Amino acid sequence: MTDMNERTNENERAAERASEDGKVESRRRVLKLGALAVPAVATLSPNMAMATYGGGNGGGSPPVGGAGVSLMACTVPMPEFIDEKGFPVDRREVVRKSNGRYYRKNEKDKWLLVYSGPAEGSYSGQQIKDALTSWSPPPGVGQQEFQAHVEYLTKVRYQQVNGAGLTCLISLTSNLDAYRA
Amino acid sequence: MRFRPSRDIRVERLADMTLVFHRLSGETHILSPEAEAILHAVPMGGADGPAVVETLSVDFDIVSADSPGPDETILARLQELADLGILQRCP
Repeated sequence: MTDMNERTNENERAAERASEDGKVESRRRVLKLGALAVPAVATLSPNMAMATYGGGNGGGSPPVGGAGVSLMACTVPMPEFIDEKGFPVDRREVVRKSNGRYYRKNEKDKWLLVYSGPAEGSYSGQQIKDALTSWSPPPGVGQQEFQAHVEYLTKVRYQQVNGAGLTCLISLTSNLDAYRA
Repeated sequence: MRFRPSRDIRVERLADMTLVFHRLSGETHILSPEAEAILHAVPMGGADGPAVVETLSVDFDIVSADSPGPDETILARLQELADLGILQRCP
């Protein structure tokens, strides 16, 4: 009788173990890892949306075909005035000195040169890319003036100042970084 | 190399797909089931490749299509997710 009870208990314990194993087994799933040559992520770029709808570039440009083209159809609105460090300047802060140049005082009471934004009020992505890769400013923009513009664009890109055109600038990151390096 | 999920992403399930919206780039990424599993295995506090493999091994039987094996494949996927900004490299 004792032997029988022991066998029963042992069987119950074995059944419990099997049941627990079964529970563990049922929780496990198979994770199939694909070939490394095949990306595990597909990316939808906002520029692809622009190619389809022609929107989001801020300039009301007509739709353009192809994601590669639309990438440079984006637009970055620029401030009216930008100081030499790349910070936007309120018109009321701008002072014209006797040398004919424009300045603002920063928080340390130091005078900084102030430049105008581009006459159109914005740059297209293509304009920025062309200027950065050719190392020459867009037509009608001085070298130092453009340098201030690039400082501003970089600050917007890295969100050091609030500004529009972030998506456009992210696509130009490598060009901006190479120009300033 | 340690990784943690980027703070600039938003993960949403849509039907049987997992979508990740990256706030800074404006891009939306569609994750494969393996990328989804790997992303979920990375804790907010960060983890290195072997720790992520260990976490995945608890929940999954891992089968790799490539000869380097699951560890290398998962590490490569972590790098891929980091390159897209979905994961951040951290100290």
